[in-house]
Amino acid sequence: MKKFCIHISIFVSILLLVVLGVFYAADGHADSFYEKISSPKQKNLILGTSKAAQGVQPEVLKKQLNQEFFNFAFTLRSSSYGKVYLQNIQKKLDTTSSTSQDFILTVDPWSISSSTKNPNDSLSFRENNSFLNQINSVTNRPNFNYLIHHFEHSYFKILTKDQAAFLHPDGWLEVTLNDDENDVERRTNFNIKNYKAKTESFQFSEFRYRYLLKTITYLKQYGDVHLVRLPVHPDLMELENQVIPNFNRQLQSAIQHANSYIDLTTMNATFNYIDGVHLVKESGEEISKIIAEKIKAN
Amino acid sequence: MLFNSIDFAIFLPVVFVLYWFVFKNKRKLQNAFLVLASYVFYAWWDWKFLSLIILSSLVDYSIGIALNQSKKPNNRIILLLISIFVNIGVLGVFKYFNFFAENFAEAFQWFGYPIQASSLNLILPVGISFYTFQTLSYSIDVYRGKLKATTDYISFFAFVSFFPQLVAGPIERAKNLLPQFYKKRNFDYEYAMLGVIQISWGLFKKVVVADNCAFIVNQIFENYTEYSGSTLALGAVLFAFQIYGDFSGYSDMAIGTAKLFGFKLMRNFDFPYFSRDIAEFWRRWHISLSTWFRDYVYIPLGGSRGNMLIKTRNIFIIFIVSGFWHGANWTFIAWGFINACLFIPLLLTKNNRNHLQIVAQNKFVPSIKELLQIGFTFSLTCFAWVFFRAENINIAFQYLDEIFSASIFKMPYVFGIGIEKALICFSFVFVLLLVEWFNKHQSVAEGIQRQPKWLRWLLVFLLALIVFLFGVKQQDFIYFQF
Repeated sequence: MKKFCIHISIFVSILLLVVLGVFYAADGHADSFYEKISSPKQKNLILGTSKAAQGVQPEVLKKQLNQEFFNFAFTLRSSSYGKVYLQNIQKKLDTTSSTSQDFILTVDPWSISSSTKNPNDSLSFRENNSFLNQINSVTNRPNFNYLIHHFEHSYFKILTKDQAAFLHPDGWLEVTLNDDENDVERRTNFNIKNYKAKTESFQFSEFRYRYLLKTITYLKQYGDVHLVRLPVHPDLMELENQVIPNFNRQLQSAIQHANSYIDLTTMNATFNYIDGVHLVKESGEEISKIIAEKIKAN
Repeated sequence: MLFNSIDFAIFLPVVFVLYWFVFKNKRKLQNAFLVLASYVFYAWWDWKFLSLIILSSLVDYSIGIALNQSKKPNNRIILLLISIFVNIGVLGVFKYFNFFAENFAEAFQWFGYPIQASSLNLILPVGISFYTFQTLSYSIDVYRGKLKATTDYISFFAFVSFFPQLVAGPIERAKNLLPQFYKKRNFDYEYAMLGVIQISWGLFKKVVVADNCAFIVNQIFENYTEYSGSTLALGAVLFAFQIYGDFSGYSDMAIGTAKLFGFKLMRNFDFPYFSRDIAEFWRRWHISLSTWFRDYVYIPLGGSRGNMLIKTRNIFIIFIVSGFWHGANWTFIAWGFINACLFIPLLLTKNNRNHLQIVAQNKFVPSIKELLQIGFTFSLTCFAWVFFRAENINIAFQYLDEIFSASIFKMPYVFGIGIEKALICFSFVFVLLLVEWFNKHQSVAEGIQRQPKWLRWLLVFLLALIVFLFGVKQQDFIYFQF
């Protein structure tokens, strides 16, 4: 029996070493979130949903503003404004900096709305079931909790180099999809259909809005807060207007509370999108330059 | 607690070490410890339902003793009926009450007398169908005089709750498992090693084959109106492998885990997809349930004796009851009915026992005829699986309608669903079939066990690595819902 136990122990130890090796190898190719929740605390943050995750490029901001930015935006499901996102922002933010910091908060009707029957029923919010509400740390590497319980792919993906999506160490999610016109149109139409269905259930959430204000208040302790509304395909813009008509007016107190508000939806038709919602890399670069210039001008 | 969970990965070594090191050579303490461990294992899911297992154990233990003491036939039959009433009663309330209530209400409505169905808001206790049948087999065997009632209550409670097979079988007969609790168990390195190999192979079948298939199968079945007949056919084929990998994987893990504690459980699957007709399939699929129904329902009904009408009736009863055992839904009844329809022609033409041995005995490849027979049987099985998997009968018919349309000739749309999953799925289904084919004269675990020591460790390591790299995390077992 001792022999059996020794053999099994050796076997399990070797296996655990392999597991550890794979976990340590996890990087930006692993999935769209791992880098974000396994990098150290950060000073200047880009916040929002997947639009921001793909659309705002920290590297471009760095060149223009001479400071490191970190893209801490996730998805509509995980990082709409609310308690869960604010708690994770607090965990991620490096509050030890002596210099003033900059925070880019992207906003749109979806991120301050809820599909729950009562839009202020925070106990039923979508992010409650998201990994962001279940992991303890967003700065540990390897992030065992995330990798063991919330990593949605097979671990083999960690060892392969996914060409379609790469999460840069600065948190920018670089997505490379087929830019064939027909494919872009198919994806855009899919999203229009998808978001049209969302307009039926999504409504403005006072609760989420209060948390947007709380987030601004919290971040202002450490630097300047810039609200940004990113451009979107004109057809999807119409849907956004259905969810919250007069968005800017609705957001008035947040805009006044922040240091600046950059509304880029006036340039919707100027940019290209991979699927109507998310900007193509080149457009994201341009947008990031514009944001940087506006921040500089402030 | 799921076998494919971190909780179980901690639970198993702790129980193993305490069982062999702390309670070594103390059989009664080992049995008591197994009862405790089994209750912890079950309570991990929901401690409240432990009371049902304890109730079932108490009732059948007492009835067993009473049967032993009672000589009058009338008293004995009353005792047996009490056991059946309590066990089936509990099962009926938790599993079938709502089904009958709703269907009665619908039937009344159909006749023009609308009534309100009152349903119970009950959770189905995990494993209730399995341990209920296991305890029932004990009472029936004692009643029939095939088994002496036990007075060793710890052994009996351990037999009912033995954690490796508590929640999804194999459904053990008291005659096989109970006496093993009476004997002293000695640790055997080779036997335990066989258990480790079987657990690894079971994990591979469950988390790599079944759960990766599930991803595609769920997409196809949930959006069946959007896909061509060829894609739906592929969905049915992949479901066949999903349910096989899921359930036979669980059985392998259960049997392997039992081996670690010195127990031998019955074989539950014997390469069913290499069957050449439906009768052979049913001798190789979920053996512990099929033989249970054979011994306790089919044979008492007269079995294959009697005229054609009685034989046909018995087959329909056994298959429909077997289907209904799986769940309170018409889809399972239809699945049982279809299998009965496929089986009856073989029985009536006395061709139901043509293939008692595994296909291609002592041959590397099957003959063309055998291959066609296997393919045909597999297709029939997949056809029936559509009813098993579909949400309701209407959907099953719509699903099959699309399969038998011109769109069956279109290219299946699978890679669009998830290229990574599809590749993993197809590759490992192929590996599964290949490994099983080469080991069809034994079990896969035995095949690996026979290799030189270094190679067997390497193969187990490879299996563990594949499970880690390609496995899907902590998905429930399909048979837990039954």
